[in-house]
Amino acid sequence: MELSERIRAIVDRQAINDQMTRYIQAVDRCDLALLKSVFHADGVVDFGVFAGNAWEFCEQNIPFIKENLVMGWHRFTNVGLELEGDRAKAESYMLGNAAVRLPDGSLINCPDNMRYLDVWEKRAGIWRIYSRDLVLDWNASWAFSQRSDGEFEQYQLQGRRDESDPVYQLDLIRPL
Amino acid sequence: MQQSDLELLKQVETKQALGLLNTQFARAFDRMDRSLMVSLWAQDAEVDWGKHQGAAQSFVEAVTSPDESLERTFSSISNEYYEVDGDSARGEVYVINITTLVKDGKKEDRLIGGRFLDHYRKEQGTWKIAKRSFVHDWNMNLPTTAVLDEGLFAQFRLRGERSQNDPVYALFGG
Repeated sequence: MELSERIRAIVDRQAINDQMTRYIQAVDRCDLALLKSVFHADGVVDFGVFAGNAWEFCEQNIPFIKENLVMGWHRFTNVGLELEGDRAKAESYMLGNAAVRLPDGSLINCPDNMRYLDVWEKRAGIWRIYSRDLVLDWNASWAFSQRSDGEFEQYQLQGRRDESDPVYQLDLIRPL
Repeated sequence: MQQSDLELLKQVETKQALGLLNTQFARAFDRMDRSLMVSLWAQDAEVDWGKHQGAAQSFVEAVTSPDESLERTFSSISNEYYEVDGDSARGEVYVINITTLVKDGKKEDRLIGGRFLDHYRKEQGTWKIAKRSFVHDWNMNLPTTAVLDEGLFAQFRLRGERSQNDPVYALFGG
């Protein structure tokens, strides 16, 4: 392969990794515009709870998680990415933690392990998801053990699920 | 190779350098490695991390000083997002910090999920942290149920340590 092609491949991998990161930023900050920007307009998802057009999924999902989760937080790892020119297939692992309020008013933590199975396409120079399926591997319901007293009082900077989160002040939410 | 290729490559190289910087931060924090920790910060670096506000130096000293109440710490980073602009950069990095705390002879596990919101600066060719803010997202407090010296787990001879006795130093040196 030509040197310039090899550089492109490295740059493409980084670009897709950045978009995967933006996807989680969007879900954790409940940022609809950012979430939609990670998908092509004609993209598709199969998340079980929703299967169909990706932008319709975004519009349904953001209000849904905002209403049904008290807190949502996701980390992703294990990115297995195969590039094929302007198309790529990827598997990535996700470990989530959510806080959910039960009908009786009590809170639980629901950690989950899932995987994203993706097809990415580069169009007009920008990588976005064409197809994303969500695979459930594991989850748990744990007693909510979060505290805000004692040493936790020192944390003045608290994550928020809207544009008041400090990440926006640093101009680090940048949809392509 | 075209000039634009080189620019694109530089962006990736910078993001990888920042990734290494944050990996080293986790190692310095978990291994209580003051000389490594000191080396990661820019001149006049600042921190906004709970009770640590202002100059990074007091934070660096505090987190690398012996603390009898911390039996073990494990800081795992992920979701690294960087914006690079020449010799400065900004970033968001997710972290899960797991600590076994010893209080009044009793042990407790504490998990904190949060994010680093950072400014970075390249000084003499090396990327450093210029400002780090820690955002708390969630925590869990659980009774310690770790099994370290019995059954299958007893066979794991190599143990994490909050010191340079940790096995990583045999690989990378001190």
